[in-house]
Amino acid sequence: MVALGSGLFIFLLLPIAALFLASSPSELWVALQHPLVLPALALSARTTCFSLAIIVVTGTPLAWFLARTHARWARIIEPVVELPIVIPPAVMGIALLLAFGRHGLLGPFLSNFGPSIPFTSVAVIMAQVLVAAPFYVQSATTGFRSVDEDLLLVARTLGASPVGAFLRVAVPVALPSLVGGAALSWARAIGEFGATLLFAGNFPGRTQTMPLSIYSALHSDIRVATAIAIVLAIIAFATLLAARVGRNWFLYGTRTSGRGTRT
Amino acid sequence: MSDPDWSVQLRGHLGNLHLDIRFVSAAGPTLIIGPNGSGKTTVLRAIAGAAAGLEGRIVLRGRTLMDSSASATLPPEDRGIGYVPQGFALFPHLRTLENVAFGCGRGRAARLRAERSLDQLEARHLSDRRPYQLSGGERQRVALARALAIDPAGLLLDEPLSALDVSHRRSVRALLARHLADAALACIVVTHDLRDVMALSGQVVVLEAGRVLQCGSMREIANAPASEFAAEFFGPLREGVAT
Repeated sequence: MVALGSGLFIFLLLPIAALFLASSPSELWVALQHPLVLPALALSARTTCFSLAIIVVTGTPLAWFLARTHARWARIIEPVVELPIVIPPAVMGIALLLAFGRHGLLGPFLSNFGPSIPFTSVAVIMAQVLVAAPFYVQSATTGFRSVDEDLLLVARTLGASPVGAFLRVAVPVALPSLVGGAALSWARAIGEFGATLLFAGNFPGRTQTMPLSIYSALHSDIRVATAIAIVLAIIAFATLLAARVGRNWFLYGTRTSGRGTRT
Repeated sequence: MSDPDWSVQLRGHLGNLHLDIRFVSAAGPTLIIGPNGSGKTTVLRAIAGAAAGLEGRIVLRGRTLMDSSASATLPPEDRGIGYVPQGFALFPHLRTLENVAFGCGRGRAARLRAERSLDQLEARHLSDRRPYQLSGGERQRVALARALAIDPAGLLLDEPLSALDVSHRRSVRALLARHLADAALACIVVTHDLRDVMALSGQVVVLEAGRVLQCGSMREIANAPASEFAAEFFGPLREGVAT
């Protein structure tokens, strides 16, 4: 049992260790000067921030609805929201093309409003929102479900409007889940590859995010690909760490440390 | 002639429970007793303002809080009801003082009002604690201070003593009895403890399976209990009367 478990653990650890052992800090620094890197980093930062904002602004009300409704028909919404987690990203890329492409479902309608969406930065954001939103909605729904009905009713009897009770009680109480979900969702968005490649293409400065630039660099210089990969891995670690620290921060307040004891 | 404290009529299905409640109670605390699942908490929540799926009419001292036939139902925030649910529902992210000040508005006046309410319940020293740092008895007092801080017209207490250990029960029971008598509040207390009924001495409403089985003073029901539950509930009192 122990051997099997530790075998998996080592297998999970080994590739990450190999990645960080692949280049020295000076090599890494040189590789990061490559012209592919900076535009990709900037585009990834810009698009994922937009995506996360869209996900939080639209996903929070959806999660609140899913957590509070008792309607039967609402039960089919949740599996639909979770679909992008199990459907391969490449499939989502094709699906996006078929929905928003020039000859897609909404293509003729959308062409009235301006240039076509595919192969633009907007397409990058759409792909990221589609694959990343479910992680936020799932986590936020779980968080909102854990908010006791009585807390909300008491808040209302004390004079809070429905929106007031939501903002002053439900959101703060569910905040650890909201923050954790947002972190997970952002990490998923910044790593998005398959759907972006198919729906947005791989154009430097416009649609070439960091994962796509790894793919491009691999054809020319593996050291550059490795360097970008290391940067992405560090961002992922930092996100995980921030989410954990943030969670404890919100759970236990700022002044009282870690584990409070009842007195 | 003055209005009765409470006039409550509620009908509707909630899960497996078919609720059909009617009672009118005069001045003094109204004590609701009944077995688990008889609808006690549902009635309190409906009065507080969570009556989804229920029809009926709730009037507090001549003021209509809910009337489904006239669609004249006030939202919870306009009812002026203090509600202390079972488990107290203190806001876990707020300190004691912030919990009590929640319904008092903003600024210095709100803080003063919250402090006064905490003083009345001898809980001022808990101001900076968070709910998880409070004992059961302390939580009870903070929840009560929070409900009373808004100067409610009515007060609803759901099993106010059940979460407390035996040593705290007596002191909190005395505190409750004192406050409910002082405040001249229309109040409803759900309880499963005969000692609460004796200490708070008011009108008793016996619920069973979503219906009001009996309504009257403690003596009246103890002398002629209409159900096995009521007979058992008032058993110790009857034995006391007999000897």
